Amino acid sequence: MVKKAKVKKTKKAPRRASKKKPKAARSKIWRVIGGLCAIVAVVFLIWVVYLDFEVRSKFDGRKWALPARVYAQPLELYVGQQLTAADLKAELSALEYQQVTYVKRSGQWSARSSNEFEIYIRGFAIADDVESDRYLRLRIANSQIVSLKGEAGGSVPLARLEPPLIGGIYPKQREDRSLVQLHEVPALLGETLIAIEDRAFVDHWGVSPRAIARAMLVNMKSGRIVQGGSTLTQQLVKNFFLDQSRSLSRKLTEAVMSVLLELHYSKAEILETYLNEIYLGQSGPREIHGFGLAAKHYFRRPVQQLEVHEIALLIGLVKGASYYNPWRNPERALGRRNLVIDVMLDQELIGVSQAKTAKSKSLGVVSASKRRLHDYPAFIDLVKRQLREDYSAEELNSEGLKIYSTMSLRAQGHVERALTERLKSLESAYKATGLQGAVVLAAVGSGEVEAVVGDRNTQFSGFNRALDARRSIGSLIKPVVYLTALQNGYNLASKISDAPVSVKGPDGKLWQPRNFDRISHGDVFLIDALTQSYNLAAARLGMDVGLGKVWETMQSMGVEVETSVTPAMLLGSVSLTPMEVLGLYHVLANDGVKTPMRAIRTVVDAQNHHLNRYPLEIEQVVDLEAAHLIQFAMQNVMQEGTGRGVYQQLPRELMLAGKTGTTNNQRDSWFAGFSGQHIAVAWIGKDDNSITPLTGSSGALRVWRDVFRRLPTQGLALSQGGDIEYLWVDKETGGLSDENCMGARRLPFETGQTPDFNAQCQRRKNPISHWFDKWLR
Amino acid sequence: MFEFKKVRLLGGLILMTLVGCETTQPRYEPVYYPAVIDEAERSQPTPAPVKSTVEPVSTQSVTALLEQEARKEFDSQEWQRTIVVAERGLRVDRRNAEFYWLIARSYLNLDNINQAKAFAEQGLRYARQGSRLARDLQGLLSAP
Repeated sequence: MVKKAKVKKTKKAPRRASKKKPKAARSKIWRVIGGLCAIVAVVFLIWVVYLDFEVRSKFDGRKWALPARVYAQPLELYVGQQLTAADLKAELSALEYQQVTYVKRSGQWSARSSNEFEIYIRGFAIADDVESDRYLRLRIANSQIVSLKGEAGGSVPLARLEPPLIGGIYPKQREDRSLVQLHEVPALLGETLIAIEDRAFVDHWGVSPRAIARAMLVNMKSGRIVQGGSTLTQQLVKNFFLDQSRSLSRKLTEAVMSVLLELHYSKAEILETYLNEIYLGQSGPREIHGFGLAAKHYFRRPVQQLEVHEIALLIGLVKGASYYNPWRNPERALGRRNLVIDVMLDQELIGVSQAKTAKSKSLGVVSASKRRLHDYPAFIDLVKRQLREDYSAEELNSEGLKIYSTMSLRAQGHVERALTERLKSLESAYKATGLQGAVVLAAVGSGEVEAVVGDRNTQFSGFNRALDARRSIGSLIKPVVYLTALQNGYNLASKISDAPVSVKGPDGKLWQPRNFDRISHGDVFLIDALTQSYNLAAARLGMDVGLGKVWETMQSMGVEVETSVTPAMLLGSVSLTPMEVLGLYHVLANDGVKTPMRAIRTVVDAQNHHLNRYPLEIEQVVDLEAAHLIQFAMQNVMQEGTGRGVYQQLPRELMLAGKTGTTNNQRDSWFAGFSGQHIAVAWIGKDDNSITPLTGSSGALRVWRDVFRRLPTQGLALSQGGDIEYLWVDKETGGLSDENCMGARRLPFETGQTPDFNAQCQRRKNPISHWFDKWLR
Repeated sequence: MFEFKKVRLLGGLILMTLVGCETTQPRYEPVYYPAVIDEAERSQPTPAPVKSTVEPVSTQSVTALLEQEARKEFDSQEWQRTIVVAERGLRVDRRNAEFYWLIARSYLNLDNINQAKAFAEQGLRYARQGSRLARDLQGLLSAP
């Protein structure tokens, strides 16, 4: 039995094996397939987990690298503030205030008359410095605010407009956006976007099979890709996480990521990100992303203030910002905009009359010439340089810092216009070509730089002459020479020689300077030598006082360049940039106090937390008395000397102070001067350092004058402090004289430095009648 | 007689013209192309300059407000805020000794002795001689 059984068993075994073989093979295949599926599933799972990590880490973290934004100084409004009606309007326009008939809410203004305005100012906060929304009524007369009142008619001592945005510091990719939150976006914009791009947005889970099927059908019918089936979520994923390729794997990744995104985030969060991410145009090298920035780019208005036709245009651009570019292809853009308006009407987002009105409007984009958002490369360059000490490039172009600069929009505008227009007119008058120029302007006292122009093409962002063109300063050095003398025992009535000078240099060559008029003027008053810019007198005086002392004065006033201290230095062989000259002359304007020229007030982070403040720093480097005397002498330059051309167009009562500078063969034309409130330096020359037909008076001075003709400023009142007394001296001998003596002139002297002899007096009038006249005055 | 008067009158006019020429300021740094420049100047109608403020409207109300605000910050021992507000005041009136005093005292409290002294020194230049403010500023200068 056992054997039988064994036999049976052995007999049956091969049969069973033969039956089992395909089964086992099948099972093996299935196992392999199962294994492969499991592997694929695991890989897929790992991939999905990876994508999930990618989606969440990017979406939860900082979504975009935000460039630093640079703002101009806020316009302060108070009675006595220097301001023209035109400048106020320009500032309001830059801030995108809306001109209306009746002011009702913040961001609006109206003109009651040519010099009376109502403004509802917008509130703002720079860290803990807060300005609230408020209604103001102000009146301007003689280029200054003479009345400032609030809603109830009560006086308002001080108010501010928010700081205007003037530029940014961008990464190489130059992707720019102005973030908006969903609640800031008009409902119509969001609804229209959904109606145009993804009607099932609120229902789907990231992908819409129905939309894909519909798109496939349309594409098959037309034989090419005319419609996409992507949802808004997929579009966002494509732009935000992926590249622009069209492979199957990329489409799959896009679909999975879209589902993951929908799984983790609300529709509102997805829509808000989309509104900030989408590419909507180009401004030069900058890419305009998001509706916040696009609204400013195309209409110069915040997105909240857009009208129906403007919203329609922006939504239309989503399909192709370049193809529908309203400046390049206005017809195409208009067609697209009207199509969007039709959809708005079709979806009952607007009424028939609204649609009709919207369609009747022109595109409404700002003129092509004004479409650049930021036009101040030379000033931004200065800001960047001053920030470099405290911030890395990475921090500046990615962390959304807000930099509040010292630029005055009004001053910058006047400086730009003055330089470009004057250079054109000079070239035309002299049949010259290739003139270039630079102007820098600052507030006296604070040392805040208010305007910088480094090229006649003010939007050119290359070589910045204001900061980098180091040129011989010529006679601009003379006030420093005379200041040194005044600090070393000389007074304004000291007689100095303007006789020919001949000095043998270390190389054996003779240095023989000449006056501009080629004439030697004998012995002259110190003040007159400066007023008439006599080279021989300046050279002699500088050598008498000592070259070392003159150079020490220069250094104490902030000049840090290296130069050879030779007699030629006394006539301006030393080379400085316009910005360095500004710092030097600011000491003279600021009563002898040195202050670093600042372009930044404060820096806050993206969350408006205070990071850095750049405070006023001062150092007294020149006595108040010497500063008073040199200011008086420089006022004389403007009244009677080489700067007198200024008063052809400006009122003499301003009592401006300044100095012209012309270098050898008229290669450089300089002018530096100041009022009681502003100081500016202008330079004109050629980049190849060739000869120009211009002197300081005929070139740079005219640019400077053009600036101050448009910029309201305070007259220069000399400081009343210090031991200064005004005395009458004889114009020939310099001896003490009297008001009633022929040839007497009144000059300031430092107590103890007054003339020590009396001049002979030939009286003009009978002393009694003179006394009587004086008493009557 | 009448003819003689006319001749004298004419002579007088010529003399006055000559005197007028004589008193005209001489040209220094003569311009190389004066005729061209004049034409260029004439070809452009010169717009009227803005009426720069020779006699400015008083800014007393705004400086008084800022002094008050800076004092308030100072009393609250907010030294940095005091400096910010006082600097704002100096932008309106750069020779206001009171703002210099507030900044100097704030820097002293922040242990920045150099700036405290620099601002005190500057304030002293603009303070009325013999005033209490001048004495306070002088006191700051002699701080250790």
